[in-house]
Amino acid sequence: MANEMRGFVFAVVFIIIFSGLLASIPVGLQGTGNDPLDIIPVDPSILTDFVAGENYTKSAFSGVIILGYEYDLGGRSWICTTDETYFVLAAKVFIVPLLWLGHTDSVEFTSGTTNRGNTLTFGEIDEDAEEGTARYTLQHVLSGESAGGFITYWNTTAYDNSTHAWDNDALHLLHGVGLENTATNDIGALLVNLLLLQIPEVPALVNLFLVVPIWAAIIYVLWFIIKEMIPFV
Amino acid sequence: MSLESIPTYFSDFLDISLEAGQVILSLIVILAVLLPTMYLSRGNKSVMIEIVMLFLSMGLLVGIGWLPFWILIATVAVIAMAVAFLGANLVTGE
Repeated sequence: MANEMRGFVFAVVFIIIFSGLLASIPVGLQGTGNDPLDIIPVDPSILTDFVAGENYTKSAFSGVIILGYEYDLGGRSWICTTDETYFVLAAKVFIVPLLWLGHTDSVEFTSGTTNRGNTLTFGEIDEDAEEGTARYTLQHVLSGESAGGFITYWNTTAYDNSTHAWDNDALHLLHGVGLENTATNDIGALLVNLLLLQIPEVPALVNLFLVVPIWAAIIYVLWFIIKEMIPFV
Repeated sequence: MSLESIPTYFSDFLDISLEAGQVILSLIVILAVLLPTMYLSRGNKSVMIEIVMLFLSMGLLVGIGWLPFWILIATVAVIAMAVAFLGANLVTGE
């Protein structure tokens, strides 16, 4: 009986400590979302098609030579930089909360089937645009996971190309994320994926080694509780 | 040279695979943090301090891309097991 109680305490403490430590892992280290869905191209005038979005123009950028604009979206901090010939969009990777040493997880821009890489030039925007609107799906370069959608648009009757619109603070940049496209996992999703052997980018065998003690602890706790509830077992 | 690219230069220099370079450099960083911590924190509650420092240094290494994320999960699992073992001994008085 003492051994059974010892096992029960071990299993309960293990589950609590494991979950607690897992929850304390900083958001930036938890990998990218596991449910990437294609962003549905939207009319730029209907921004609410995204669950959350950030719309900005040249006036939001600051800096010298390399201009930058930082914002929070979908549970992550983003930085968009430009030297006024191309844009680079990346999520900040924090070492611990609030401590950022400059490491970023950049994204690739894809228009239709054309992958523009992680730098989007004004020329490419002009090529991809239809009636002043260019739509891109975003994927993290390292993981390939979705980072939402990116839309650039400008008034073609006032400005003949994106560079002209940018110079006049009239080129709008919209980064949006959908309900299933938030870039980070939460602890619940991470734990469920772990238990179901479905953590992205983790070898199945490694995932198996990680999950066996957790399942064993859960099953032991359940068995112990049931046994204690039924005295004659 | 950025922090993320150091393992690339290191593995090229030693002519080993990138993964091996990342592991060796990570071990060096972890030991560089852990050994002084073990020395300075010897005595009461030193294990807890060492666990925290290990966790932080591994978080740093995962953050700069030297180690994959699952290494951190594995470390969490091992730490949780160790704490559970100590907890079970404490509660059952063995």
